[in-house]
Amino acid sequence: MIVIESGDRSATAFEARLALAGLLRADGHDAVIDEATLPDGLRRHQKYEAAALVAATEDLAPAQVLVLTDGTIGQATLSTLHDYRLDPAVGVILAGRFANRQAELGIRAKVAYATGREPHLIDLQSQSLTALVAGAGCPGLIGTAAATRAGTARPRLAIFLPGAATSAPGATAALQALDYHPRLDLQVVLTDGWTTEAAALQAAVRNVADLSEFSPIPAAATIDLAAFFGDAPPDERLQVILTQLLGAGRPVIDATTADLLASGDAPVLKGPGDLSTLGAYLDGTILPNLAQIEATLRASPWCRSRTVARFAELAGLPPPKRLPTAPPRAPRALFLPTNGIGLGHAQRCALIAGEMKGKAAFAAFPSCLPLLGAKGFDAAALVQKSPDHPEPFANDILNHLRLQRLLAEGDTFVFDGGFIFDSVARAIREKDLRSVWIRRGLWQAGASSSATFDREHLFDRIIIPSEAFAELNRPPGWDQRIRTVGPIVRPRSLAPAGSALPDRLAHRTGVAFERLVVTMLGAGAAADRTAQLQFLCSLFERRSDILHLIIVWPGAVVPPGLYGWQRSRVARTTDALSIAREADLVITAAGYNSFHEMLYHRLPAIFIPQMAEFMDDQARRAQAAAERGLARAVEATDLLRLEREIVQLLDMDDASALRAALDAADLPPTGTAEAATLIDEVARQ
Amino acid sequence: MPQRPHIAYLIEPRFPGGTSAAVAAELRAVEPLVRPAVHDAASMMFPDRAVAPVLTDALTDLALPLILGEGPVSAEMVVVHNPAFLKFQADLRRRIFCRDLVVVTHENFLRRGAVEAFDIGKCLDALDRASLALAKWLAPVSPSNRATIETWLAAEPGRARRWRLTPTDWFNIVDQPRRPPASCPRDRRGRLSRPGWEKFPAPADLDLCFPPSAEANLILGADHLLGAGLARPHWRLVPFGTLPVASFFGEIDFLVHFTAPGWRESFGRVLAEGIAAGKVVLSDPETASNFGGAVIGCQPLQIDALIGHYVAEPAAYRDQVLRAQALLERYSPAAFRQMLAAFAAPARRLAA
Repeated sequence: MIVIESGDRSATAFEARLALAGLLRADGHDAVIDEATLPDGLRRHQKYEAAALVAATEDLAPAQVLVLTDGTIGQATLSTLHDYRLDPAVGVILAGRFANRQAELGIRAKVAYATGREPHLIDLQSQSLTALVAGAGCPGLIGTAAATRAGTARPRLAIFLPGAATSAPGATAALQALDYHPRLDLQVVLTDGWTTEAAALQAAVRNVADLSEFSPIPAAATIDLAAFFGDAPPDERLQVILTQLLGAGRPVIDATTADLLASGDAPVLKGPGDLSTLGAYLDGTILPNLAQIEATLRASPWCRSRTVARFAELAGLPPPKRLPTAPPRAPRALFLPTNGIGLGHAQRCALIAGEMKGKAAFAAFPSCLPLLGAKGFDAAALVQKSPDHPEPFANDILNHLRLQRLLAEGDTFVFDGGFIFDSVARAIREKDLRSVWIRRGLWQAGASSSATFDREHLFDRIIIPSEAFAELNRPPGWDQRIRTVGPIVRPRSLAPAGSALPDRLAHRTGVAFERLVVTMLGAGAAADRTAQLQFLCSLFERRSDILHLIIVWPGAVVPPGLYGWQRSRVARTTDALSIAREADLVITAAGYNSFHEMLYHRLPAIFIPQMAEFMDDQARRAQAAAERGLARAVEATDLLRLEREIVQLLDMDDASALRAALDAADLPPTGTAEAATLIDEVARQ
Repeated sequence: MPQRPHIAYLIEPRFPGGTSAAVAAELRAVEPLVRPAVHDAASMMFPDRAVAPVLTDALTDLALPLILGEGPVSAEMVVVHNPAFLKFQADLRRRIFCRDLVVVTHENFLRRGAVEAFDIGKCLDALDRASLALAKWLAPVSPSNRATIETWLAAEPGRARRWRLTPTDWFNIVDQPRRPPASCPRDRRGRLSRPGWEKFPAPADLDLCFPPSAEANLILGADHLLGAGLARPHWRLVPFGTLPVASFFGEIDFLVHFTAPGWRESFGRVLAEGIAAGKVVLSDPETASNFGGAVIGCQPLQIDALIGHYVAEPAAYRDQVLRAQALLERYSPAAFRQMLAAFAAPARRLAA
């Protein structure tokens, strides 16, 4: 284990430490960062990137301690080194830039006194290991990861620029032209975050992201050529990316007016400082000469002196060991359904995965695991968000680590949900995976979807399961990646009639009944339905012919008051449909799955829509069915009407009329098989 | 016309520890012989620090002015104490004219592993460039200090031609009053140093030096241990300068002084003070060797047994302290004046 330390505890020094640990780790060295040395106020991206590199202090077993320094060393670092009480066999390496000999001797002595041994010194300047631009803390090392990128017919051009550069006259048009360049795949990367100017760019250019969304080393492995604009030198992370590109023989174009990259000794190309001329420069100078540029870069002394292997040799690190990885396995599709409200996403994914020809597995939240296990899928557990976590995205950092382990080259990643977590975006970017997004088509009117669509560009294919009724579907757009398929719903034929169910229910509940009413109003996460459920329980308590089953997911929180009724029972199951199929009436929310199951399985139903800001438009969905005479729709607050509808359906034979209407309804074919085929296609690409 | 001084001192008077104490004692020692001029070599090493109180007191007592400014320094002999004050600047920023330039090397030139302790060449070169002298001397403060300078000069033939080693050590003067040893010594241990990682041994050795079994463990100058939260319930950690030295010695019977393995005291002034205060002093063999038996050289593992012996045998304790105090006479002001006179005479001959 190589513990990476730095001369001070600043955020800048931590970025350098993170970069070096990442570079060493990517090349098979067991580099770690002591969690006790993390600076305060880490930024969000730093937490994601550090998660795989940080080790608990009590777990440290250092074979070496490598201290990065800019020529200074603070008391905090010296205290840490002193307190490690290193075994005499543990080597201490001091790597840095020193203003003069006294600076070198001074820091060397301090480390020697604190550790009780003479540090091994690497002067980055004299060893030609300095960074691309002077001033960076991390050595300018070149790992092997970026060189693994296979050639592509459509090279990916990454343009790194600050938000202000996008508001220059003609900049947007130039970027738009590059976005539709027939021979380039454009990625715009903002170097100073989502400024107001940059946000405006999203409407014009498809693939825009903030630099903090990229882990430097994996990012470099997805880029074929880069252009750097702006007035400020690249930060530590961007320097790592650009250095990896140079090492892999990929052009880096300095488009800054101050020659920020080209004024040094790195083999970068000096390009035009105006975005509008970049396309012509690429067409005329770069793209025809990619092979020659690659050969020149690979042979350059600048690149050859900066390999991680050379640095490791100078530092006396043991030969790299490939970190333990999962045994080789055949590529697979990994589904990640968000649990959302209920288990709709998991259920939908399970249906699609069941139709696929290729192998499918799941990464899912705990609430989904029983359902997926019951359907025979391998499912790895993700961590559920919790108010007990120190910050709102703590669970997602763990999920990020788990996804990194679960996904391998050649896999296809299928995400089903509305909000694309950082862990999902990072998994796709860092593994450069083929990816599919299954997302809803029905949005509430006026719902802001920009946050959702910011990351849409990550996916190779977007599958939108359609609604049964045309007015609920959006017209198809121009994006070839988006495919709309029929409603994804469990086929009727797959649900065998359960004629023995009523007897079993009577036996298990001890309630004799003639008619079964099933209520599925959710577990209260989107809307509190306690009042409605109590109302229904009281209503059915007066009727000796009814067994009222309140169906919830396993693990759902049920109001205690529901357990006091004689004719109402709470049933926990992952297979609500099998029970609902036996019901004389179903009272349900109008979520995608429940709604379409009612329609396609011809079940008489009263829909009580659940509406929350983040949800789809259940009211429109319920209304569409009611207008066609295929169901009844009742507002959650209209309990008098709910009672009236129940009486009509149960006692006035309206349920039979509903069944007849449903039997006669012309519903579109289901899209489960088509969705599975579309994913199989992506997996084969 | 004022009489031209025979000796001028060019010093950085802001060194906080042993260097300033040694210079103060030296000024007091030579003043009966010669009235020195004392020049302030204000350096970039201590840009914001005040003059060390021990020097202020000595200059006040001797009615010697501290000469400020960047004017030339001229005398028959110019003594520069601790050239390390030049390590953060390129030049001395003044001229020196003298027959003998004596640079007293208060710091070891080499650390363990023959690593330079500071940029010696830069400091000596700055003095060399700034001075016009018939002879330029490096004056070690102890035998172990001398050994590091000899090794360094052997690897620097160019500089060895310009700098000569004084034939005798320019030792620190120890003129503290002698206190009698305790008649019934107890296992009360302590150490005194300015704070700094170099002044302290590895944690495991510090635990051996100051174990829970001792009646008292007093560590004065423990600022960095306190800052790092490295405390033990059986230690009394006291920041530097917050307990008078006399009070410190009043609370202990054994001075246990070990340093980081990569660093050694060049002289070990605090050890001499411990002896003068009537304590048995233990240190590493290399440091102890400077004192010719006055300090007991040992390893941390041996300390418990040694202290146990002296606690059980008060007569042995007394004998050790008295013998050590007798040996301290070689560092007296009179001995220093004798050394200076002896040095000056051949120096003149050599210059002639």
